[in-house]
Amino acid sequence: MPFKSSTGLKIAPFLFILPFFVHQAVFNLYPTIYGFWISLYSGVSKLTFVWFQNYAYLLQDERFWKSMGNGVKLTCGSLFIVLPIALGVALLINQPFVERRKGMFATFFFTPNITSAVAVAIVFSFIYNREIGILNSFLGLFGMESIAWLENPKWTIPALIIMVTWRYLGINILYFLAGLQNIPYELIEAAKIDGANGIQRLWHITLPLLRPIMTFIVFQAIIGSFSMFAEAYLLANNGGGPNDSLLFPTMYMYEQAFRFQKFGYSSAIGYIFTLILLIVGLIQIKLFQEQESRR
Amino acid sequence: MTGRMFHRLFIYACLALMSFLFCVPFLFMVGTSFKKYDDIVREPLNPLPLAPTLDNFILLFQKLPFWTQFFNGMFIAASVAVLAMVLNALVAFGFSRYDFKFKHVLFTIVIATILIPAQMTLVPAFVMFRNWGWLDTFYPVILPGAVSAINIFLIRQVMGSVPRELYESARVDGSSELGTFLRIAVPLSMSGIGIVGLLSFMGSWNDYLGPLIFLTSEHKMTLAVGITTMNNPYKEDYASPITGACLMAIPVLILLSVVGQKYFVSGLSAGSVKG
Repeated sequence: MPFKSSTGLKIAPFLFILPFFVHQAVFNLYPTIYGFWISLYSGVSKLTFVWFQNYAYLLQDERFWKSMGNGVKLTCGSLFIVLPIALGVALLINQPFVERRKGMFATFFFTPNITSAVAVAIVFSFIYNREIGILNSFLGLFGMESIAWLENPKWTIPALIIMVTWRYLGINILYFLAGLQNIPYELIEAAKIDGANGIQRLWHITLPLLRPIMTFIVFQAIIGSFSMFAEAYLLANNGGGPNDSLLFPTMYMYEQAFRFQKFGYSSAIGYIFTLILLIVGLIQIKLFQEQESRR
Repeated sequence: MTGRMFHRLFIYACLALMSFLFCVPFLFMVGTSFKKYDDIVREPLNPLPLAPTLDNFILLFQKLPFWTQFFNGMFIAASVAVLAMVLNALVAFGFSRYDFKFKHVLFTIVIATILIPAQMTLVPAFVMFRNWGWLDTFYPVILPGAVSAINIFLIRQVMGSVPRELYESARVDGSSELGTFLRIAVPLSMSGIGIVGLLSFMGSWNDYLGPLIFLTSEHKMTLAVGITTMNNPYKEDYASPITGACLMAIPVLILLSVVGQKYFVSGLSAGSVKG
């Protein structure tokens, strides 16, 4: 019998958690260190060691900053459009009388999220199509002008945000529902009896109690927006869209590495990108902690 | 009471409207797959095929080694799901069952890895796999996703609710640690493990970037990449990719309706104590 003796008991937990650390070492830690090494080289077939030249170029690279800017735009879209709608729907689903149909609605809204990004992007390129697109035909019914959703740089990000809203609403509803689970209904009832109206109940009870899960949701939204790849890449017909208006950092990395074979430069993009995200994450954790301690 | 009725009706109406909006793209996806090319162009707003045809499917099967790519995707996704269920459950058990030295530090490390985006290792992992001769094999699209902090966290949440007395009594009965894991922890946290399996399967089935980079030959590719390679630059072919997208969505929808409903409902009501 393995793990029977008292020394066995000391070793057992480490044996159980070993898979994670082995996996991390091989597929995350080693590539991360190796990637830094790669990012110090420049060139395509003949590599030369250039120290930090890639990073110096990168900081002046307009296309890189453009891609980061697009990431910021999409993040704003998710934070100010997707999350409020998701919270609203979650609050509706969480009403006590919907209890029995909760699972049905949640599954329903979750369906777009588990439909492949590829399928979603293909269908939406069709919806946004200028001549035969459903959306323009629909707008046409009301006598509105056709919009060149995917050709006009002004409209590409809104088009992407509409698609992202449809696709990621479900998962965020699930997150919010998980948070709302932990709010005892008696608390809301008590506030009702004390004469708090809906807005007050939301502001003073529900939102403060949702704060822990809110950190997680917001962080997920930021990471997800910056990591955008498949949907935007396919919506822009395998590229960065008109005037790079749909270029995201991951797409830029992909282009540099696998189209132009500049592995060093692409690794450098990966590093800067990760660094910026880490800073954002840490700031966010700090902010939420401060709010926690102020309460 | 009428005010209350009205209130409920209003909420249901809101939810129903949202649900309908959510359905629209799916309606068009299915409808367009059965439409003739002329109908697609002539009547964009009508989701229903007036003269249903199987032309798009025939064309799709001519253009793509469809079944090969379908089963590649299935094989990869199933492997990822099985590995994810086994390995993440083992790690979660280690963290939820025992108290040991450095436990807190080690778990913080696990959680901290959530902060590192996958893009970080895109290029170095590619170079690494190329050196190992793994390009155009299934390893690079299966193994990296087998263990992940978020899934460990998910399973650990559910395992935490397993009563400690059960573990203790199993030990008294002479069960080994691995036996305790298999006989007590796994059955009792099946809802968490099931969700991890489900999400891993779907994540892998829908993954685009991985297969795009690591799989190069047509008969190794998955559908996700396959249906995007059909874009013909000379004649706008709307229908084939959409038909492919439609067929690609089917396994996921079946999985969700058969397994998912049960797990989602239980997953959603996890934490709320049912009397």
